[in-house]
Amino acid sequence: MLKILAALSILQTLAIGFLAARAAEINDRLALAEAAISVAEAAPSRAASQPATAPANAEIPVAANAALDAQMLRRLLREEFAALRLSPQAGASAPAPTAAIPADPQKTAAIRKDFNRLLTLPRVETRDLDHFVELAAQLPEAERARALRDLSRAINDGRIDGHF
Amino acid sequence: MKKLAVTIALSMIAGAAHAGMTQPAEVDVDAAGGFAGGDQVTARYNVDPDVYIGCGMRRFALAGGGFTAFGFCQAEDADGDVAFCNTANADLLGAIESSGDFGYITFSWDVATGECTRIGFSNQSFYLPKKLDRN
Repeated sequence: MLKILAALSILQTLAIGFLAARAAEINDRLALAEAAISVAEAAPSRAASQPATAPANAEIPVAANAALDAQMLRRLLREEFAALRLSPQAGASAPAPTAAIPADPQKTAAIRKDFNRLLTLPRVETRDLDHFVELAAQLPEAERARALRDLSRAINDGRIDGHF
Repeated sequence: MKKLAVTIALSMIAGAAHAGMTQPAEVDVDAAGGFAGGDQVTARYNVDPDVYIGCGMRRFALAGGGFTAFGFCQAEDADGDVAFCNTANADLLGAIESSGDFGYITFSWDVATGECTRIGFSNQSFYLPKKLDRN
């Protein structure tokens, strides 16, 4: 038993050593990447100050590629942020648009009738609640708010037993 | 060979014992005060089958154009106290949209109107289930 534990301990130590070496390697790569980004960011200003016929050297192609990558990344980020701004999910903090709905006595009567129906049910199913809020959505804003207030109070005081 | 198997099994048990912090939050409803809170995992695996907590939303396209959204939060605790509130407030709808899968939920409402006045979520590692599994 002790021999097995000792062997496992050695294996564990070797594994830790291997992982430490890998971590150091990744750290080096990160440092190189940061250096490349710095070069890429400096490249546009340098390119603007140099004539188009400047003699080629070993650094220019690398810097140009890095600059291209940085520009591409910036463009991609801009596109992603623009998409997020347009997304309905991201627009949640904006006021919810509601169109003005004219009062309709028939719809008002229909939701009152449906509410009374819910009150008679021993157990209200989710589809019944969904039907009710769908009717409420067709009402003018003030009436809709009143219908939903009635629903909330009825659930809270136990007159309606159900949940979405 | 048996010893090796036992050793590996013991190592695995020891590993499982160090699984990070957990902080179950039982669903609690204060109907008179208009407050409810609790985490979804603790509610889902509660021994009481009536316990739940959550928030949701419905969006409706309107015939005349545009849309309207109806958000809600609801809960029931082990004492049978029920909480329900609704909202059309854009910021609170945004809060509902930012909810997580396993987090802690807390909400308040105006007892007189049933309208939500506060909706909060907290997505933390200590609310995650011990093991992610299917229903």
